[in-house]
Amino acid sequence: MSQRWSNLLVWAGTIAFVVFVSKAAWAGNPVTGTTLLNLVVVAVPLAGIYAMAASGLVVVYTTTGVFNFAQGAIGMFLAYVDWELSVKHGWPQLIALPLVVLVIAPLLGIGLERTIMRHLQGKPLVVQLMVTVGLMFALIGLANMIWNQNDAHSMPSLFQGQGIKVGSVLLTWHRFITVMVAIGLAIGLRILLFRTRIGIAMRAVVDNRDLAALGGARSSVLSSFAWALGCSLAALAGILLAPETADMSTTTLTFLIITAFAAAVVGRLRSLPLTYLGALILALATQWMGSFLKFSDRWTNVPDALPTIMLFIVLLLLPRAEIQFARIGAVRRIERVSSVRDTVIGMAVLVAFMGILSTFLSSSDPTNTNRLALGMCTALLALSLVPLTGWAGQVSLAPLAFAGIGAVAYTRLGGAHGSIWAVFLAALVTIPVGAFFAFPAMRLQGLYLALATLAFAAMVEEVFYTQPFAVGPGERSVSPVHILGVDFSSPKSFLILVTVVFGLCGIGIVALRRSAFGRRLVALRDSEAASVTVGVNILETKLAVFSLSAGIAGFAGAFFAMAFGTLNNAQGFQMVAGLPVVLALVIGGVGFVAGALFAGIFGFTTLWIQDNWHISLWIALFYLAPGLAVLGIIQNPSGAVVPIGEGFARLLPWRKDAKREYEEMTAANAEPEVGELGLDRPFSEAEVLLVDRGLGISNDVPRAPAPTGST
Amino acid sequence: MRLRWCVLATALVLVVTACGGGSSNNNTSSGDGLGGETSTTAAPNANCKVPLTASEVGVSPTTITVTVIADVNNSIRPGLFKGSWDGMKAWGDYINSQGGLACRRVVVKQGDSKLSPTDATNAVSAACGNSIAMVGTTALFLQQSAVTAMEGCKDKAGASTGIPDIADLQTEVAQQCSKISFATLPTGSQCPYSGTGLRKFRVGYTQYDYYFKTFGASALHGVFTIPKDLPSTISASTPIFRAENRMGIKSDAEFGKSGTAIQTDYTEVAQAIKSHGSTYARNGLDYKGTVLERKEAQVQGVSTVKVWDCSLQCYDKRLIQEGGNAVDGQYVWLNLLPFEDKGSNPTLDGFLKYDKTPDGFGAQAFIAGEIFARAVDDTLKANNGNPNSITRANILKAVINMHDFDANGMAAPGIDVGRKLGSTCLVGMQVKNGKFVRIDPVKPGTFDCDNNKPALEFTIDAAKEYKG
Repeated sequence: MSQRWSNLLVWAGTIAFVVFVSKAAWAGNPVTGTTLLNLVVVAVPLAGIYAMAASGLVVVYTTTGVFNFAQGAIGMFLAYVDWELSVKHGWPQLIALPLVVLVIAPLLGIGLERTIMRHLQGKPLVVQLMVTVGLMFALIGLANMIWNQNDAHSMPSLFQGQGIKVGSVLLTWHRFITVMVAIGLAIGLRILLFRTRIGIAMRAVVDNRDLAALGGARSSVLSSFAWALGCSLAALAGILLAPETADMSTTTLTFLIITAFAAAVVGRLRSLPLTYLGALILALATQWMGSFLKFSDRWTNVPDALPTIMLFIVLLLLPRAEIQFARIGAVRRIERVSSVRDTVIGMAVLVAFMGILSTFLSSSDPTNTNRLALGMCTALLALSLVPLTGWAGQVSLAPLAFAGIGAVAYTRLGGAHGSIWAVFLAALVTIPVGAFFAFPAMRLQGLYLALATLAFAAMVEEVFYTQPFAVGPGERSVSPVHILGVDFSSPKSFLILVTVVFGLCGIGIVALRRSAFGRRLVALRDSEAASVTVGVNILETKLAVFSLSAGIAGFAGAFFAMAFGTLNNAQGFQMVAGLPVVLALVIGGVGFVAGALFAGIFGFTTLWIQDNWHISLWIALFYLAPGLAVLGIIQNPSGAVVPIGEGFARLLPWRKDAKREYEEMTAANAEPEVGELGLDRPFSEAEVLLVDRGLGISNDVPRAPAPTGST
Repeated sequence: MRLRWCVLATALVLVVTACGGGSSNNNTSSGDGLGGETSTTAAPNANCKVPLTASEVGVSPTTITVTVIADVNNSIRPGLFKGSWDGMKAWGDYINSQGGLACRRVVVKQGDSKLSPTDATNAVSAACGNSIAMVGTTALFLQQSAVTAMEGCKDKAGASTGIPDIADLQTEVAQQCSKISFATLPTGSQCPYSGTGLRKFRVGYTQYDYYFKTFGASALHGVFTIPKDLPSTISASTPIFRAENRMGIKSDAEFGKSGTAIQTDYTEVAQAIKSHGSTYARNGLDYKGTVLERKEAQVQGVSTVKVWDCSLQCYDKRLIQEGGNAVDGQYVWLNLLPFEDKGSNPTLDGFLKYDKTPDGFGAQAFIAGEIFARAVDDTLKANNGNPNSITRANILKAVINMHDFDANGMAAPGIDVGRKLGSTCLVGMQVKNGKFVRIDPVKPGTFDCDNNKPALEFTIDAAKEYKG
């Protein structure tokens, strides 16, 4: 279908949806000039808030190429710093605010750039995203540790609630300032990014770092400046938003940014004016719903889903991503693929290990057994992302949404009685939902596809579970599966069952990776253009991998439902809860079955440590674990299982190849890093001579030996 | 997002329970804070000369172990219900200072449900293995699977007696309607219940009669804000509003708000109050929702409201700290004595002596402990003081037969624990000059029982009543 027709279809669908919803939920309130004026007056400050939140996101993305999930968390953290100074220590806001926005925030930004963000250059998208997700959770954890959330934290608004009256609504000076600051920033940032040398250079670095460097741009300095600017914007947004929350809730301040995603995507993450337009549309739509529509029963959460519905629609309207030629997206090590035989042995060892471990776990207190079983369910879910994200490079942030659909399908199709067929039906029901994503995946690539899956997960959370055919307002009982008369209701037997299932699925996945289909997926990840050239049918391949991933996730959902024992709206299939699963998989290694196992064990271990080691340091580590994981990802973007596996393999006598590889790698690591000559470090005399000779400037200079590691 | 749900669910349960749950209070509340026949310490009834045995899981010759399960450690809101842990610890210290229970020292174990249904089930299973009862339970996601584990818990004899649960909070229908789960502030809602469809509710008149007496029978009409994040929060709060409608407070407008709402989201609520000249406003969210609504109302110049109504969830120092002068005049109704009554009731004094960071959840946990102590005492009485008669089955029998509890006057008199009916007696507080001040009845240590007026009973489908 052509771009024009598909857009027409999306527009028609959107209009039909809006008309249908408005008609069905019309509250009967009169639409008059006064009510409309009030609507606009209330919407404008809300738009200012969304715009403030979105602008930092856009600026960071435009100037660094990183979509920063932690933007809201950075703003939250710095708002707390401002609270500490201005409220707790009584500093005047005139001193505290500039100090935080102009000094502390830029320093934080530079620190983040130096320690974390600069290492993300050239890394796969999923790694980039998950590093910011880890940072987000770490900042929430850090704020919770420093500022007890059970204490009162209230930030007074500027000018203490005074303002100007527009119609019957008082627009407070604080909100007026928020709107004005938002507009001022839009103009100022536009000038900065498009009319100043530094702004152009920052964008140039994002477009092509090497080319920009050749033009004299100091990419590392520019990158630091960009992060400093991004953190300042986050701080400003956080401080202006804080008085709008009663208690400066860390989560409210952090996750408001997700609402702003829709606005940012309207501007395609590049245009600030369009972002502000998006914020205004979103705010007006929200107020329209609040003023004139009433939602109840199964549609109660539709207003909450509005930002993500809008995000999804906007993403569908984006122009089709072109296949990129002559460009390397990310540099990856070629991962070693395990043989099926090795995997079978490994899985047998795993099952045996779990069997032995379960005998040591307490029978009277099955807490750890249950947690371990849940960890294996998580591993099974993470496995669904290995072919999709690890091999095919299609980033999905909605694994739990598919698992939730699978859990509902299992529960409704026989899971209440533990039917074995219900497990397979759960996978079958989820497959078409996953296949549906292959179509937007043809249009969207990379970040936009990831955001589409995120929007999908949020919509499932807000709208799907409340449907009577799904879960509805009550609770549904779930029974563990019965296989050939064997009951798996005891915690230990369920742990063994889910481990065996993981093992079988893992073996299947490895076999798939070694097949032609597996190679097609890797080819798709490495270069869609090359894949097309050699005759790979992109749509067919994406359709297959999305279906496969959804099927496994749905399958895992059935086991989650069994582990939970009941299914209701509060069960753990929320969009936000899916992010740590992806994060844990990336820490483990997104392209490996062992990485999925790592993800499951990682979750179990952190909880076990927290429960059993009552030492404040460990409690702190629990909250800071995502942040530490971020540092781990940077060191090992391929995942923790790679060095673990390599270290282990070289100890095996029959793996001489592994020992040789290890020695080669150790030698390579001993060589100094090249860095950016003339930028990160000065040219040495020998390097100057070498360059001169290479350029033919000075043929008579004596031939000098090339320094180790130089190019 | 689980946080917004948990905060709302907490608020909602408190709203429902605080508004009555409504048993018709047939005992003669003296209002002196010393009501009923309750006794705190069981030791006097026990014959401690009998050789003590390990009569039940969690009972040794020297100790009686109970577990308090609460949502405490979680990455979203660390320490959420730590107050319950502290309250139960205070109760353990208080009881032990008075000689313990059934000739034994009380040990309070802490279980952490971590805002997770799975961890709640795990905590129940752990308690089943080492405690005689769960006391002061404050777990928001104690769902059917946890209740199944609770009810299937085997006693020392191997019978599936179940582990008795004396809870602070009962958010889930499965817990509310479990035959072995009881509460310090019972909801009084109909059980059994499938979770959907019509359900009978009871709401007491006490606070409304106070308003009608103060402002006139037809003076109040208002705006209601309903927490809409979860079907259970809607189902728990809507009956309050419908009860108020039936009692004569007309509904001018109703709004559904999320726990993640910000102050700007409340502009439309303030506008509705202004346009209708509303005289009554109630926000069913946690204290934070009331703070946001009151702040926005102040900004928008709302001046017509005579009654800003709230229940136990607003009895929180943060309401005043975060709301400032915007929350002045706020009414708050409690089913237990306020901490400001220190010195008027020995049990309250005991709680305040041993809990250095008291809060509403801690006070309720302490009251749950007192229910357990009373059950032990009643068991001893029924078994000629035999301290080895302390079993889960006997504790359950005692709790089921407990129909007039008041924690020695610390809780509202006439709580029918066994039939799960709360008291209609309340204490009215109002925020004045940055402090909670007693307004009804004024005398410390007493409750307003509204002349034992029976609670209003009505049947609705709460989910369908909501138009947010």
